Amino acid sequence: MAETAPAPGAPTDQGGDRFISVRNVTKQFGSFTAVDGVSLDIGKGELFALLGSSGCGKTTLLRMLAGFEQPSSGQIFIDGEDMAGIAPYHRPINMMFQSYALFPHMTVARNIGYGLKHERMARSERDDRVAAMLDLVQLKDFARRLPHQLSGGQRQRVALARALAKQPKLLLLDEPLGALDKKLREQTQFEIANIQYETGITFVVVTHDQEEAMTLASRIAVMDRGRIRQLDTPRTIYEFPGSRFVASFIGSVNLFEGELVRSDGDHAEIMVPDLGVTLRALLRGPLTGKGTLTCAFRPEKVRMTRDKPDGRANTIKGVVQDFGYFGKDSLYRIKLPTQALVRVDAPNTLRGGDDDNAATWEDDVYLSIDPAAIMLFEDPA
Amino acid sequence: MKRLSPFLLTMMVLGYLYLYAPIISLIVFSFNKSRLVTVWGGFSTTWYFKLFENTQILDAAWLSLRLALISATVATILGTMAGIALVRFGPFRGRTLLSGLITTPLVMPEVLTGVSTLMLFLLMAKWIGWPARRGFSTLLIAHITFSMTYVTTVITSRLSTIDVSIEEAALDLGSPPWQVLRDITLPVISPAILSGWLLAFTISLDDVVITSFTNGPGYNTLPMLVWAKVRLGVTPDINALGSLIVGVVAIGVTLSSIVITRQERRREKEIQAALAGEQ
Ligand SMILES: Nc1ncnc2c1ncn2[C@@H]1O[C@H](COP(=O)(O)OP(=O)(O)O)[C@@H](O)[C@H]1O
Ligand SMILES: [Mg+2]
Repeated sequence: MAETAPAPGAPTDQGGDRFISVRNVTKQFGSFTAVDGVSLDIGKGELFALLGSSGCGKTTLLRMLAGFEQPSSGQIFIDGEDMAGIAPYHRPINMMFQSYALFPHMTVARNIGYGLKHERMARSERDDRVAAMLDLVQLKDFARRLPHQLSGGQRQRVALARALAKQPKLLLLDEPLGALDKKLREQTQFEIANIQYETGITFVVVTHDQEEAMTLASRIAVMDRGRIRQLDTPRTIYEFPGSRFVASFIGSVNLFEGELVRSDGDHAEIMVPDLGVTLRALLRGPLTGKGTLTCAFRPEKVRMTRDKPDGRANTIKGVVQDFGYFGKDSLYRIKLPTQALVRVDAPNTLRGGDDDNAATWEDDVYLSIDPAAIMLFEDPA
Repeated sequence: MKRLSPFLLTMMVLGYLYLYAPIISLIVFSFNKSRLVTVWGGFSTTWYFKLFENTQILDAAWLSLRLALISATVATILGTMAGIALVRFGPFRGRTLLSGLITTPLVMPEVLTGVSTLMLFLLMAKWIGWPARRGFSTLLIAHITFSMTYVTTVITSRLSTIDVSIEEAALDLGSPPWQVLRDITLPVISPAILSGWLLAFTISLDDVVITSFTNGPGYNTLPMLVWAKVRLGVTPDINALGSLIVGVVAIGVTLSSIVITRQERRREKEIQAALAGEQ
């Protein structure tokens, strides 16, 4: 990478792994804080996801990267260059808008080629690039259609091709699959990941769909009310969420409050009144003893048996209250003697569905939870 | 097709009569031989020939046409600029004032607008010596002022329905603001610009009140002339003039709808070509 003189106040350690650097950025609309002190680094060629529920400030953060909004405070560096005061049309960034924002009066080919008229390239070269983009998104036969003559999925691909045509250093995608139906969405997820891999362009994808973030991204930032709650790989975020909020936002989880009975080095014993038992949990860090202690475990990490298992920790007896059959697995709700409900996800490994051993309504079952599967949170939220 | 019930049929005929009977009687009586407007004296086209010999009417028509063409064009340019500023430039200083100033003539009685414009011209003549006499330029300024209001209203209502993100997308793809205006905003609102122009043209063409405050001797527009003549009694040449105007309007409407259908057909063909995968 070419050496650029650091802008005033720029950190001196700008490297390839910190292609984008967001430093303590806050955005206020009047008295409302949409983005609150966000800092993050994104590496070159990364596929990064911003995940959060609607209204948490994802689009606002993206618009600050693209230059449509100015941060109220904080700095944004792209490729070592401070972006303050740089207009959107001078940034090496392209964006795919949530609404696609296709030009309604231009054909697909002209939409895709629009950004290229600012590049110094011959007409033939430009046509070649447009053709290559049409190929990439499989819209060769639609080059001369107008946007309103396309389906939602086709429009989405035109928007992607238009944003990619200029071969930007950074591509921002705002809920790129939001308007597509489930099947098309899954297929397009892989296409986007492929295109990212082939072009090597850094992608920042905004989404409120956790599955989408998990499938696409190499790293995810989970946002909530303008703040980043956790920034990690999808696996770490799912298996080792840093807070109760993240644990319940990503996937489903059973949450129960408890009280620490004692801890012996790497294990803790926690009295959980709702479960009516004392749980043994593997400690991954020291407990401070402050705030509410929450025990959490994911439904698929619970083992469910008809017979009382021998020598397993954390065994609880319960009754099947109801269950739903989802094909590849079944979701059970187990009622405990304490009246509390526990969600259990059991895979359907046997074909036929009338497996003698499968639990059904009113059956007595035993649940056991591995101490390593129990997550402990001390956050007040 | 279902047959209309007698009641519906009657109502339909009455409705059309209500709308078109005046125009039909105007056209019919323009071919009346008699000088008396209400007495049929046989078919003749004399009034049309008389009309074309009447230089007073021809001059007035030519003045009205020039005035309408120029004022509609200038008002459209200014009104479009004002509309874009109001809708797209955010809450800039003086925005409320501008928006108020632009829409006031819409609700103000025309007489007041006329009087105040006249007052302005008189004061200007006193202080800066211009306009020494009222004539084409004062008429033009007055017409631009009030027809711009309508253009701005048309443009703002159209612009506010257009997603800002298409303009942002063009910025994002490297176009500076003036190119975005040229490549995206103006083409997208062009139907509104056209209807704004037509509106301004029509309003200027038939304005009497403001025109009568701001014109000078020798600058009679067509509506003013008609107005003056009719006060002395309706004459058949006015009928002939009215019929001609109706004819021109009808031809204009027909032509424009033919052009629009043709364009649509061509577009459909292009779509079919695209569907067939032809390049
Ligand atoms: N231009 C604006 N003016 C005022 N409030 C805004 C503006 N843009 C966004 N907001 C507010 O900021 C919050 C975050 O919006 P946004 O970034 O669009 O959320 P999302 O995560 O759904 O993309 C929302 O509550 C929204 O109402
Ligand atoms: Mg959004």
